[in-house]
Amino acid sequence: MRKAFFVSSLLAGMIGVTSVASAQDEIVLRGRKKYDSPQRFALEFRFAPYWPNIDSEFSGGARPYHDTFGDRPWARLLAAIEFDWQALRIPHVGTLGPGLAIGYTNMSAPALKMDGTCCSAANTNLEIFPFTGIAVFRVDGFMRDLGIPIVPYAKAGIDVAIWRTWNDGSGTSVAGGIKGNGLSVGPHLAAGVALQLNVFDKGAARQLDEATGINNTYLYFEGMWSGLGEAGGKMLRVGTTTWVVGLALEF
Amino acid sequence: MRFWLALSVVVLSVLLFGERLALAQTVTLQTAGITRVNADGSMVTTKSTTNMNVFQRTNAADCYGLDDKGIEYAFPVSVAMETMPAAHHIEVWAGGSDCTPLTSRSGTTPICWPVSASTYPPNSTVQSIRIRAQDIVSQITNTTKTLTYSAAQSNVCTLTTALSTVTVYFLLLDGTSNPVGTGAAWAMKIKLIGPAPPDPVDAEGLNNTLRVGWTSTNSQQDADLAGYKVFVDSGGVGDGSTTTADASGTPVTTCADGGTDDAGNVLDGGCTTTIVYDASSNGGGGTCSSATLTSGGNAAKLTEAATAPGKTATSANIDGLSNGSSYAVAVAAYDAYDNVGALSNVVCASPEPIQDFWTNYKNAGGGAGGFCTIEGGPFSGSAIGLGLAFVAIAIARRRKR
Repeated sequence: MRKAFFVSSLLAGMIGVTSVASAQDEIVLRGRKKYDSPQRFALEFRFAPYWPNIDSEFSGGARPYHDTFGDRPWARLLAAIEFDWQALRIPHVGTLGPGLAIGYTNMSAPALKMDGTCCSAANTNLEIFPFTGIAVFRVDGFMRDLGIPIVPYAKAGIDVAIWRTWNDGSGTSVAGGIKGNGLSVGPHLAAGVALQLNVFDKGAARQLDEATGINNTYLYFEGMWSGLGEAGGKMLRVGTTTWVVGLALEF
Repeated sequence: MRFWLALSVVVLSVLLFGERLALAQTVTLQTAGITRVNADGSMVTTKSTTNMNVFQRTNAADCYGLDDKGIEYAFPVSVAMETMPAAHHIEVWAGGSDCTPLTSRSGTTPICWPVSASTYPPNSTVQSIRIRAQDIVSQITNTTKTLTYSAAQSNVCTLTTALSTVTVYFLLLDGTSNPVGTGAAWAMKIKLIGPAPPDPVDAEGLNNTLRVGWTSTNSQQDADLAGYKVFVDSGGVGDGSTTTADASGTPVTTCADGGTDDAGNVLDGGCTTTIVYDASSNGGGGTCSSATLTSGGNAAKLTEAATAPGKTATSANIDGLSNGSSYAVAVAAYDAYDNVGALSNVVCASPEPIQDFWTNYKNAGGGAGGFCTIEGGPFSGSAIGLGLAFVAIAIARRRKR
């Protein structure tokens, strides 16, 4: 009986998760004040070194990406912005919801002459424009219930990237009659931890909430894997495994 | 009584006719109707590349015109009333200062010169008075002006004066050349030389393209500099040290004869693959000559292959060339008056294909490309901007609640 009651209560609690419409307005948890505005969304500004896995297509040792753009992943920066909807709140656990990210990165290096010597007067360029659709699970129970300003999270979804390669002063590159542009698709996985910044100045955080509705601000560090084009075929393998840092806002 | 009657008539006459007399003494120039014509009467159709009013300037091309005869400016002129003494007539003079006073057009120190052999009747209907550009230019630098008209020749177009302002005056004069009433005037800017050429100039070969670069010299940094024109001649010759050349850049493979063994089997002598181009590519040494381009030469009558507007321009691409062919290139600066200066040093270069990322990728056997291709350049800015706009709207709507 007790077990049944406990299970049913737990289920009721989970089933009873609410959208963040009005219920959250009344939430009062340890460490939170009643003045907090509703929290529905998250916005992330994302920055990551980007090294596309193009050369992984070649098992015989050819490295066209490395040979062209060198071996400096730190010089290639991916800048992105992600918008998440915290559709579901699981009490005492966290939030779950969809998100959408848009990013951009490009690489540029002097092209070689046809005899392989360096360098031509023109740069050869590659740009990658990834879109990401993901589900985001944030565990902010530690922060909300225990006052620990750490929010681990995990993401899973799909990446779609538009890419193009061209040379200075010319349009899209063509080799063997095939244009150097296209679309790549692949899975996206990520996990990270965010440090809430409100704890460092609660007064400022409260004022920010009152003025703009921003409930929390975070600095975060994330490990990310993008399998763009890993399925092969006509898709260029522009995915990568990298780390991401950035600023996140919840509002 | 009679006295007062006569006085009334006089006063009434002055009131009625005095104003008409004043109007008759005004020469009117219809500035909107000024045109430019060649010596053969055909209209000049060239337009300014710097948006300058071509009717208020004379540059070197205007001065030379077709067959070195120079262009003419056709000025629509009229006078308010036709009835006036028979000796009244219109003369056209030019000068840096007001030509109306008789002293400007006579004596030992005149400051104006005649730009037309003809005199014109003071017609009330519009008449077109054509004045030659060479005549306007002719006595700019003369310390002593010649008061007798003589048609100028194209040699006046070599004047190396700086920018000058000359005003053409349409004067209504009486029989003693004294001015009557108010004449009309049209101010013009005269500049006959272009800026100095950039130095140095270099050229590099790209795929079917030459990239020409230059450094502007201090002498070019004047207020008139407006940009650069690049000229190309396909008759350029390099030092001709080519051994084997493939204009497409395709590797050329040569295999040595390894002979045969005792059994008659062919032995492998080994193969080497090279890509060799004409040594004149990338300006690498050797003699570079051109039939049409010479360092310091006159570029005014050449057709440019590329234009780089702006004082700070330092390069331009010439597209549509043939890989492996040698070309001679030179650069000239132009000013706001559309004067093209002298040519720079002449360099030779050959376009050649480059080994870009996509070529490397395909040569390695890469299979990507052609999957749902999307044309166009980078559009990250617009898409991220849309994303930010979406977020901003979401925040704004939350704040309203």
